[in-house]
Amino acid sequence: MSLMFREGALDLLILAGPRLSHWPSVGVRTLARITADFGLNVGVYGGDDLSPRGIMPLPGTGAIALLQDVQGRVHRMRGRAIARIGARAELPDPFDGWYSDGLIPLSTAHRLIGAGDRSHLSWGPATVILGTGNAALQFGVDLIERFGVEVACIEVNTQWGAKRFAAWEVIRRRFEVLGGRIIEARPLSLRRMSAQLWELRVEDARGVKILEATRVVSAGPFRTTAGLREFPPGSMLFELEATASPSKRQDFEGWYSEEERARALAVRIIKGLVADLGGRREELDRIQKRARARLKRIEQHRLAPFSPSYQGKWVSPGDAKQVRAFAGVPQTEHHRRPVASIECFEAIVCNLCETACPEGAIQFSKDRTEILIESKCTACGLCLPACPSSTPLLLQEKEGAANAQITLPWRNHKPWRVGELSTLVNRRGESLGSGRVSAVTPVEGSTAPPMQLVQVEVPAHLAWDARGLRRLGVPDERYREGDQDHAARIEIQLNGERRLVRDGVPIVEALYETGQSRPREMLFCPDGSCGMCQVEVDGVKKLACKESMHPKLSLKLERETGAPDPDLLCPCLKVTLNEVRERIRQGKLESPEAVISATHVGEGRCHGQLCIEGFRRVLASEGLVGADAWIDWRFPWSDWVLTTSSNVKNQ
Amino acid sequence: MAEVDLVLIGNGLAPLITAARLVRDGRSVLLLNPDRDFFEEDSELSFDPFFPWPETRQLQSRLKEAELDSLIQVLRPEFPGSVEVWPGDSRDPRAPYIRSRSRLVLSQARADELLVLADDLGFAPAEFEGIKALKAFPGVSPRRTDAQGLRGVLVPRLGDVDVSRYRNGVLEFVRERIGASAIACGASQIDFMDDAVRFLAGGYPQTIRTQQVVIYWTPKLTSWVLSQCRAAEQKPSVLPQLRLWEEWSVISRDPLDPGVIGHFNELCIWAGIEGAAAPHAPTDGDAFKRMQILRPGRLLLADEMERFWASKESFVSLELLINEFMAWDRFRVRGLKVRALFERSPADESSFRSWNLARGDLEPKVVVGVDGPIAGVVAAGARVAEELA
Repeated sequence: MSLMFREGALDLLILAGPRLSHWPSVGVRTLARITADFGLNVGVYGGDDLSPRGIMPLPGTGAIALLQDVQGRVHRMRGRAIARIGARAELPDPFDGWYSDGLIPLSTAHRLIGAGDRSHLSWGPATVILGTGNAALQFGVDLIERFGVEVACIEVNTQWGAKRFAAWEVIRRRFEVLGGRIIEARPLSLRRMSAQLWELRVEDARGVKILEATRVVSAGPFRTTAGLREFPPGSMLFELEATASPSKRQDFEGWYSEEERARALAVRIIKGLVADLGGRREELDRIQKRARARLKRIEQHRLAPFSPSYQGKWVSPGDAKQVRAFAGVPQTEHHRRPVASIECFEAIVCNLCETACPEGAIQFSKDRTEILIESKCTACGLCLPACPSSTPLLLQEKEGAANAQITLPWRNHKPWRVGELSTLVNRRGESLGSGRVSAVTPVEGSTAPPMQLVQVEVPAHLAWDARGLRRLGVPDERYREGDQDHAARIEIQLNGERRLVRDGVPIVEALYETGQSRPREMLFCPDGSCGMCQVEVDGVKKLACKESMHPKLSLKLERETGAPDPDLLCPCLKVTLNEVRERIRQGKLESPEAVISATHVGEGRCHGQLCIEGFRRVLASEGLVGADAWIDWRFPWSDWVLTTSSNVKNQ
Repeated sequence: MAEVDLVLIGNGLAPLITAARLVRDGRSVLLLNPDRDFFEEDSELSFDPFFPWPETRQLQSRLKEAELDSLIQVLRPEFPGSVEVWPGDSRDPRAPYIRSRSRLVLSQARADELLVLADDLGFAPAEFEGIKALKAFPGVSPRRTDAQGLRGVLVPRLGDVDVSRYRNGVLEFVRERIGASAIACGASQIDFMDDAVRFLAGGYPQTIRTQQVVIYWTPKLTSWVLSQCRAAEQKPSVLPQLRLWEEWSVISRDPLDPGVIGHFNELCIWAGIEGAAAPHAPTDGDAFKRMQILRPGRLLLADEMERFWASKESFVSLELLINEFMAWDRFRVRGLKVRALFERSPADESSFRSWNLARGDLEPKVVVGVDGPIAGVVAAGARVAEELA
């Protein structure tokens, strides 16, 4: 009845932090591959096999990591270098009511939305997303396309270089074409209005606005984050932010940036640990140079954005000229036949359309002065579904003809039929007029909602402005709220009361669906690694994310009492933002450790998962040098439960 | 070139206490901290863990030192604001608290000696046997009923301190008194000249003329102190040994009695609270359920530390305590703080030592014994000030 204790030592330990969406991600694979290729002994620990519990930095470099396997055995590994893969920072700076069940981080929203064309959770009539990164807008697009709900994205930080939002222009355009709104404002408060309705007050340049939302999804980014840190400097203890989604298409920027950061990290680790690189130094330098250049390119779109300016509903004449002269749009061929138009004006790192084109008609040159080779384009339309932002279209504009033909991708449960009339919208989602559907081609293999390529006949003068479709007059019947299968529901006891829930779903999901969730469930991780959602199931304490609903289940929830402080930063220990600021200023504290020792932020049951990013931003705003590079290495990373069956004994 | 009377080099509480006293006496000081901030090393303990178990004479004096009134006498004059006492009529919930807690030592071997000593000192100790001893110990599960052969002595009115609040309060006070410019954190390349100290802080080289330098030798500064000794072609007059200390924080199923600190084998166990042991104290909904376990590890050389942090021995002793003695079926680890402190010899009444590091005209004074239980650290800081006066 004893847990075994194993010792080991490796050059590099790659460890999964809590709440990772998938493991191993592209960054982990890249890092492991390159470092192993250079002769380092690498251990990759995460997922179901070996769960890292935390590390203890050693004097100098390296650390001891403690891990636990599925049989409860403890493994103590010494690593000369450590790379912790940390979950994406998604929670906002504290505001009144942020810690409530009305707000969920994007990763939780992704888990709750589920696959297919139905969500048993209500997202309508309106959902608000905090943040305007690509992942945020992409999620907004998904919500609109799948459920037809209203979505507004709020940009809380307007310091994005020349741009006033974080995402790529093409994704923003897609979001706006579908009817999504972007608001620049600062959230002030979030209060419950009814069981499934929340009131979000925001403040913009003109004053306070009230938004009513079924849910607020916090996606970020809220500041430019390092994404790759080493702390303390020179310690070989690194944290790599996991930004990649399971599929490249879901968030290309996140995927790409994680891969390149992993490449840069691999180079740093190899240079730090391998004494004699021999003839491979040049190879390593090449990898480093490439990673640096690519990482630089990721930020480029914020520094030199191109977003056409408008006069009313129309692109201003100067910018219209620039649009027509752009290297991605056809110059001549479209007067004779349909040709692809790649209206991706910014220098972004995505190349999904290029890889999808079988003819090689799309080739992004380094300076983006060449993109489309018109003569090679066969108008096969494969680039249209390949783009997550639905930017490419097919364009035919015969000279002298009254009408032009444009073909746009359409993802919706209600397909178009030939002959139907549609409303045409411009790049900002404003109505321009109407067009007639002249051909419809279903896209094979597209998942719910299904995708079509819709050819529309548009008045010739709208050919360069109409970039989206809407149904005339009536709203789309894409999702009917409450259209759920009651037959599959079972009866359970929740705090002694009868409730109907879906059979076999994780308890956390059922709590959200029935409006019984608690704020602490907002972290909803796939593997129980956050350790926050403890409930009493049939008299035994268990994690709600790991247990499923079954008939006659008895569930007891421990509720948090009292209204949280309006400027709550650390919900577990009830530490407020003002307290932290006051301690820093009064004590003239200069390091995060000193602030933690004075305030105890992150010492509660969440181990900083709810508050440490907000805390880091407070430190930065208070002028603590190096706050952005700081990593919280306190042990363990989340509550670690050891049972009697996991006692320690000699091996 | 700026001039001060004294330059104090250290990263903990002791140099602050010395500085506060010297400034009060009208002397000018400069505090140099090689760390980014004070207390990063966290080398002060909130109470005396009596480990290794002292010899009779030393145990007597250490019991006296740990007594609530003695503790207040040492700590209060050095703290600028109010120091609250618990239990008591607390007024300021944010002030540092000196808590009066009983110590329950479960040990057949030590019971008689402790009983006699504590009685002689007027503590009115109580002796517990069997199930009574078990019930009085913090954290033991009600499921455990077998208490055969258990014997313990409860010594009331010993004190422990809110270390973090106390030292941050002192830091704020000292900063205000001597001015932020007289404290340089992150000081590096410290070099002693005949009548001045040269160092790098905030990216700028600075030279300060001074008459005296005091170095507070805490474990983290060991390699730097030894390098200074080598440079001065001197051997340190004392070479203290390091002991590893692990402070585990686990969540108990049942609330713990906040009024008792238990000693089981070499471990100290108590309810982790800040401020007064009252429901308003900041907790995460688990009022009095956070159980702190202080475990002394091995005596070691600095380069050996990694071998023993959270090692198999740690888990074995945790298992012995929690699973076997307390009869919990599971436990939840909330935190683990690891630190190395200089070992205080069981034969020593105080760990305070100092000697002069001969280096030209400027003879830096090296002080040892400025880590460990907070009362000892404060007393050492005050003593340095007295010696310099």
